[in-house]
Amino acid sequence: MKNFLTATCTALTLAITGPVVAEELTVYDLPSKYMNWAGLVEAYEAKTGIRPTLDLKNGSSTALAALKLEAANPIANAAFWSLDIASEAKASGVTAPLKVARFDEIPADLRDPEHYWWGVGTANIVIGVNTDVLERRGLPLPTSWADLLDPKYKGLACSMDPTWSGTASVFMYSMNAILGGTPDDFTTGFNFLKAFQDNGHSYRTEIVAPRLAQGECPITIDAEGNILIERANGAPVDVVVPSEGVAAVPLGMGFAKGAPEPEKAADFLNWVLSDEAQEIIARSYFRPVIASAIPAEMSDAFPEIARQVPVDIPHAAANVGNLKRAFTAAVLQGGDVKAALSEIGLAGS
Amino acid sequence: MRAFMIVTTIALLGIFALGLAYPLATVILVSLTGESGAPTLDVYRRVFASGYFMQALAETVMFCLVTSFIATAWALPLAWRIGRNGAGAHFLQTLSQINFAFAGIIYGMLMIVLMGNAGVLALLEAWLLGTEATRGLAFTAFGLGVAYLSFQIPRSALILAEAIAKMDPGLPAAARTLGGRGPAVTFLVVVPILRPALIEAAVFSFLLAMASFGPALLIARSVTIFPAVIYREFTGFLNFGNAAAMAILLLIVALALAGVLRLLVGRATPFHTQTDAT
Repeated sequence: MKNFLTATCTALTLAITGPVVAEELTVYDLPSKYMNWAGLVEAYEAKTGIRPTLDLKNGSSTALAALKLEAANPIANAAFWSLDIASEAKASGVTAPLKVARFDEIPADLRDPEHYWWGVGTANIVIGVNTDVLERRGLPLPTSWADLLDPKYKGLACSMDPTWSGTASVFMYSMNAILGGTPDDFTTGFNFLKAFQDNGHSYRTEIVAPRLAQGECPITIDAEGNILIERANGAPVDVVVPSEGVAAVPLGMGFAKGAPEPEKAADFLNWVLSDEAQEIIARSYFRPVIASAIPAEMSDAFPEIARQVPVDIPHAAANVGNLKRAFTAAVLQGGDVKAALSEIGLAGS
Repeated sequence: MRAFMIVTTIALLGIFALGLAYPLATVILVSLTGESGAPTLDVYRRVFASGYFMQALAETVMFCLVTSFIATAWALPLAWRIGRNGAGAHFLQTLSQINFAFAGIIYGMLMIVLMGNAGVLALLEAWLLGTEATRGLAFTAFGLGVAYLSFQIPRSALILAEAIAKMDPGLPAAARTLGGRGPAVTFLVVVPILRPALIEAAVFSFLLAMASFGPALLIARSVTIFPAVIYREFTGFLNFGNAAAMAILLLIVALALAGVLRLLVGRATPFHTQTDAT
């Protein structure tokens, strides 16, 4: 019996302490298939032996929810997310300021003057097409956002769900400006989002880039980099820049308040802005904030954008939460667009 | 031996306290805390006042009731084969048990692979018939139903199989000697004997379905599944109060309905053979 008790206690102790294999740095929302975090993490581990965690709390909103919940006992050191969510995080008090070394080299509209968030890259939200599947169905490639509402493409397109994904929430926010709406009246944008679903398309709670490559979603709305990297891997996919214009999702990072390993986190966050990391981002077809880091051979790889619609990050951050509510009411629950927007004060006057 | 019992009991109580009692208490606390931090019933009032949440709950309950009944009825032949040790019983039992290894999201993925836009069924149909009626079937109520049935049927079957194994094989045999044919024997003899087990299997399937969230996240479009709505409140809107209140509501409704089902369908008296007949 004494042997049994000793054995149990030893086993429990070993289970709790456990063998430590690689040094890990807990970071939220580093999806391996988005902006090639798999490649970035591999490069960082090769350089320093520290491995930031991949695929933990994927989704900008999910990461913010996790940080909020863990505010009393923080587990994550940092997070990657779209900058409108980063602004929300600053307002929620879950991030702390960090003066990253290359802060001044980041464009002014992609950084917070108080150092709570900063951009690391941007990606235009475009239409992705699986050329094989569309050819088999005898359909021409769509050329505009309006094309997606055409019945001949019924049910073929997938976007990510704006209540889950930062990219999709920027898409939800920016469609209004792209289609001619004003900052006080989101009816134009929301009518499009509702018509998108009414034409049989879906809003998915998963990263859609693999679905495009597989053909499950022959048309997607996604960051251009995710599509181009699949194309570089041999998938029959391509980017279509819609004629009405595109907006870019601003992607960045934040330093968690009360981070368990602040020095390691600061090292990692500074590394993401280094030439090495920014080049990896460029090679993954995302536009790095440090434009000088784009290698010469990649300068033609990015799609030509005829009309770039800017995203007002503070306005987006202030309203994206309410817009998600209106989106759920008007689009996902089949309610009335005007009514849903009036409730949040964005139906114009 | 005694020390072993003590250690095990403490370990189990510890797991129960840390893994269930404490988190549950925290959720209840969050649901009773207002925005200012003071205790209040406002969150519950808000949830009950929301037509959307209440409708989602009603739809989910209806959907789960329907699928659990269908699953239990459909599981009977499978359970019979396993319980009576018929041909392939062991293989079928293993197949049913493998079911436990899959999480809900896996079922969603399997449905997409089978009946999605580029699913096996759609590709087969396009190749054989050139039509595309089955395209995207996974995202309909039918597809969601299939996803739910695929984890409910094996579990109901295993519960029923155990009861069938314990059933006196002499009773159906006696019924047959008295001239009863297949369906008559099944409905007049076997089902009444198995009634407690059938109710247990149905209730268990119902509770499982009510908690299920993985398939809903990936494929639910026309049916609003309550656990998925809770998830959206939680991660999409960061409305922890709402999510906590809805979670407690789900818990109460599921357990209450389970209890009502057991009572309404009645505690069946076991079928006694007439031993005092002369």
